[in-house]
Amino acid sequence: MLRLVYSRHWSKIAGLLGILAMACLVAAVFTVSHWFSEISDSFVRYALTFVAVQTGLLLLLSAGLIIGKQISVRRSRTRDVILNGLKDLLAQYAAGEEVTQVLLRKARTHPNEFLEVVENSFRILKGSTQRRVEQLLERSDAYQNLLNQTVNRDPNRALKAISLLRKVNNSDSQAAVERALSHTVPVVQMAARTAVLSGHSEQAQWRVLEDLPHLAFWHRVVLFHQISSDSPILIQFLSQALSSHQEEMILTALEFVISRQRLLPIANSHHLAASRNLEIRIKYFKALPFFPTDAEATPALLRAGLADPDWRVRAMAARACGLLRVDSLVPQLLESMGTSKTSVEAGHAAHALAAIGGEARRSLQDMSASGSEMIHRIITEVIEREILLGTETAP
Amino acid sequence: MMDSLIRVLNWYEQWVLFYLFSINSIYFVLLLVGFFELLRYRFVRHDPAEDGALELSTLVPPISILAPAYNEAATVRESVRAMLMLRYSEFEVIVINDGSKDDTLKLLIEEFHLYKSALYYEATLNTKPIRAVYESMDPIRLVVIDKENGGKADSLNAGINVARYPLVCAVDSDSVLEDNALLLVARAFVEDRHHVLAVGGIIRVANGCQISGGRIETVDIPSSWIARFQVVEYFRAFLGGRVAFSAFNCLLVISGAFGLFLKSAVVAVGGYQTSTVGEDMELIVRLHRWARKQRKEYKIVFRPDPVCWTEVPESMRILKRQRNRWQRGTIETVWAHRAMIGNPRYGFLGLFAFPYFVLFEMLGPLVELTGYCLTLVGFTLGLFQWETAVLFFLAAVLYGMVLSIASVVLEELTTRRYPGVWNLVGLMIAGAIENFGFRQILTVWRAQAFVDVLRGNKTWGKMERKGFQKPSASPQDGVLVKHQ
Repeated sequence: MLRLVYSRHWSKIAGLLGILAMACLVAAVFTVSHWFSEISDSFVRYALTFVAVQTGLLLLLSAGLIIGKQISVRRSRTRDVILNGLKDLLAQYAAGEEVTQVLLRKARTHPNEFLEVVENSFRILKGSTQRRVEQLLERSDAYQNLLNQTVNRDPNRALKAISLLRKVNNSDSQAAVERALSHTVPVVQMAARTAVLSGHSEQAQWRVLEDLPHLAFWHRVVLFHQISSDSPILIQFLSQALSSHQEEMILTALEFVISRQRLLPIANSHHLAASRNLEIRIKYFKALPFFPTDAEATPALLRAGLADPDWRVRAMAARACGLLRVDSLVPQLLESMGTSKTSVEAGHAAHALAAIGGEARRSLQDMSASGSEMIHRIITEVIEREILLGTETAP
Repeated sequence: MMDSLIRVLNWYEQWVLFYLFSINSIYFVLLLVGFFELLRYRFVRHDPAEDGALELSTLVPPISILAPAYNEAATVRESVRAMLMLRYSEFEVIVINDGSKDDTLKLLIEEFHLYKSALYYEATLNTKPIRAVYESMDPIRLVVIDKENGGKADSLNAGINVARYPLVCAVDSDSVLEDNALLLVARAFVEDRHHVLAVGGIIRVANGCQISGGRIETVDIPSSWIARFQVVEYFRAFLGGRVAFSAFNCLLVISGAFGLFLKSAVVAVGGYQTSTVGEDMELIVRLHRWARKQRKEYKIVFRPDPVCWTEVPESMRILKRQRNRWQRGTIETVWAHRAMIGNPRYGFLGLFAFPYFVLFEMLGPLVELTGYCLTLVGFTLGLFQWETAVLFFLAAVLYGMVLSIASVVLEELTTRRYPGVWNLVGLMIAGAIENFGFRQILTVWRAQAFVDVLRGNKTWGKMERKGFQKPSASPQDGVLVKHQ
């Protein structure tokens, strides 16, 4: 059942189940109507049946709700007591073997609570203290079970196991998480990918990185977030991706560079500025400030970007000019401002000129008097923002 | 003559009964579909790493929060502060002061160190004149638009003009968003960025809850029975109806108190309609029409996990105004888009969702009211057997009670916001007794809306609010006057 809930077809299944449940209710009405067969008026008979069924349903729902809530409140209280007990014991864990034995006994009787306390402790603990809790986990019976759970058919169990094991730094845990990469439920695969990227072997990480272009944008966003920018394998992957001829691969790499917002030691793939794919060109110029610059090649690239037929590419090129302070392109930026029909492009160009400063800034002020109403208002905003806040906020 | 009258009365009475059972049966199916759909939210585990990515990644689309304010001096500072503290990677808060007559603007200027900004914006959508745009000197993304009074829809349009980001989130400035509400509502956009046009979150009743610093401290049911009835109504509408309609991509309403929209789509359809009092529903219907006309594959989604808490009326007078306005909004929207009714070009939306709205949401009060009137006439003239009439009335009321209690069960099975058993008992009792009197009063008020529409009544009506309950009483919690 739980696997069905995870299915992407669940909405359709939910619709069918809803109609099926309604059909059951109708069937119940017809069945109960036999109890009132002595009533000759069928209209009255069915009304009475309906009242009976509804009353039964009402009582069932009410009783179920109250009893269910009562049970859940009690369970939750009992659970809290167990969790607090385990937390206290874990705090004294370093006291000696006696406490360890008590904890392991408790872990046998309350495995779920034990694992929850351990997982929560991993969020707070670091270094040797964390390692000690890891050792405790490894000694517990729950641990062996946990290693097998990553490939459990029940996605929730698999996810729970991955969530805990990703924080345990040993080869068994890592192997168990990597096994989940082949799980049949996509959500579990995704959790395993996230875990692998946050610190597994290079081989496993490479396997995940290679899959990136085939994943949905949302999954890529989540995974990008897990990788350390200093990871050598990441740099290798990005370099390969950017020099490849696969557009999905290139876009993924560019998205990653944009998501970092910091300079990355990757060779600048100049050829992307002339890509036939518009999305690649836009993203390339957006990512350009985060590639190592070249005093000769970068202005040439930006000049090409400012002359691109699409305004979105021109806007991103103008933005890059500002971030890289390319003063040799001031005439092009001024021209871009003057001819632009969109406020976004003109805005980026104005911000770039203000950021470059000096002569560019003076030209910008001069243009305020001679340009159109739109240009005048954009320049006023840019200059005001610079004076008042000392910031350069791209429009 | 008398025989004919009796026949007509009997026929109509039976038709009304059939109608009542049909509407309740459809509600029941919607609740059941909603239940199964909500299982996904109950049982599917989410990796906390995903929230972290949404909160920090520069790849997720930034959001402009639009909060229209009219005479909101009592709560505006706290509301804005709460909005600025929401969890999301990049967002700006745009407060639109819609010609307030109180100190709303002055308080905002003082509290957030606003200066008159030269911020550039394009007047893409027509609005009442903007007097000034303010920005904060502090390192916060707050923009305040001061404009002439033009109503909520006009304010939202002005906000859209000034908004810098691709997603716009319309919120009521006196509602409270939970701190992860933006993360959850935006997730739908990020998960399916090429198709989603709008996402709505759930609206919950804040009466009875304790709120401090723009955050819900404790959740409790309201002490007023009128507010309790509305808690159950909101459960029924959101957890049943909207979840189910969303599952079939024919959601017709996203509450004006909390909805996230793709700005380019809203601009493409011409923004909010200022000539209707049901601007939230009207916009959604127009988005559907536009997307279908463009032959665009699209989604308009409801998410039950992003929560917006709002204060509901506790006085019958205010509730009457609100329900009258909602009903007028429904009638105006249905009339404006009547071409969609039963039109196969709009698929399931035209063949089921829109006719459902016309038959049950719009005409429902009229049918129900005439049914009550004819029953009275029948009794007066001695035309009906009272035992039979009582039996049918009981059947209809019991069905209503089952629906109400089932919606409380739905809440408990899915989101479990109410902590104690007694909260649920209170809600169950409210769900049962609302069928005796309250529901009938609402029917009369909603039926009156037809007369108001015919008279051309376009007023919003004053909404007096008590202000949120705080852990310790504050002298500032006065009476708050909403949009006129």
